[in-house]
Amino acid sequence: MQGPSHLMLSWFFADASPLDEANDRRIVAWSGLAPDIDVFAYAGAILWYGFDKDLAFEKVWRVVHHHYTHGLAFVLLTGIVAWLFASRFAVSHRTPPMVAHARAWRVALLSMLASGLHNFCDIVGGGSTWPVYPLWPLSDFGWTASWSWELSEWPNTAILFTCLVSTMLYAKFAGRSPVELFGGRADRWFVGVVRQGSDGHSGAANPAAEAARKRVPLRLIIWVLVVLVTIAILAPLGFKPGG
Amino acid sequence: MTRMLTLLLYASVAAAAFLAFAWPFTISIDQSNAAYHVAAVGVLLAFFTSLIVLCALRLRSSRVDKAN
Repeated sequence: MQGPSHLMLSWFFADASPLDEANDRRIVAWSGLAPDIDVFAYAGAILWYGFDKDLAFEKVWRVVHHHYTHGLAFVLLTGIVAWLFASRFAVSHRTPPMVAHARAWRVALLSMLASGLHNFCDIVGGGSTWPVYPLWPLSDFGWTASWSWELSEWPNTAILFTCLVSTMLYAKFAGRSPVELFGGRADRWFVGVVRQGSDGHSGAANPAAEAARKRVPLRLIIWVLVVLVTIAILAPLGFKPGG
Repeated sequence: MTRMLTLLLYASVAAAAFLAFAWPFTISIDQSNAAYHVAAVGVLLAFFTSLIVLCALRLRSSRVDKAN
């Protein structure tokens, strides 16, 4: 499954749990993406090998990816880090100690579940050549399914598109969206753009909305960006709509 | 209903973790095992169904709150 799908699914999982604090949702959602942190090794390798992506892939990505961050040990590590962040946020918001304690544990548990879900999604939708290593560092046993979908196959594409459309719907109807993972201001801007012109007020009654409509058509730009990001994600994978 | 769906969501995620980390050590190490295929697709369907319905309920409650 693609990284953005992991991130958005984890955010929806956090929201459905339900977590009402944006910071808690952020911790759980980033925990759901955390196992793919080994991508930084690939980025470093590309630099190390003078932008030779094929060499970096063979020497580093093929060896590193899934090996050290897709297992129970990393899930536990994710839970510890999530607990630390959740505790810190609770203290900074002056939450009563008992409530803060319970909240931090809940966020840590949900973060571990999101990280575990990431592993399962990679077994089902990461391709059979990319096993996860459940017991690393105790064992190098790799586990996958022979029928696992490749990244470029239609189920992964369908999940990605569903997540993107759900992001738009959430922004429009709930006033929040996975964009809050990049900051509250980014999410407020995104929600404002998605809701622009659909607030039911006439221009005469709401001059600010009318002025906004006359500015650059931001919604069109957002849709074009969504399409471009989707193409950027799918193009290197050799998109196969036929499965 | 929301409570049951939330339980289904948690159960499906816990089952997903079991399938990812414990299945090969407790049930079968065969990567082509038909039972694993059925269980994995079932868990995935349970997860997505409960997630979509719960998110839809959250959206509806957000709209009701806004209307009030």
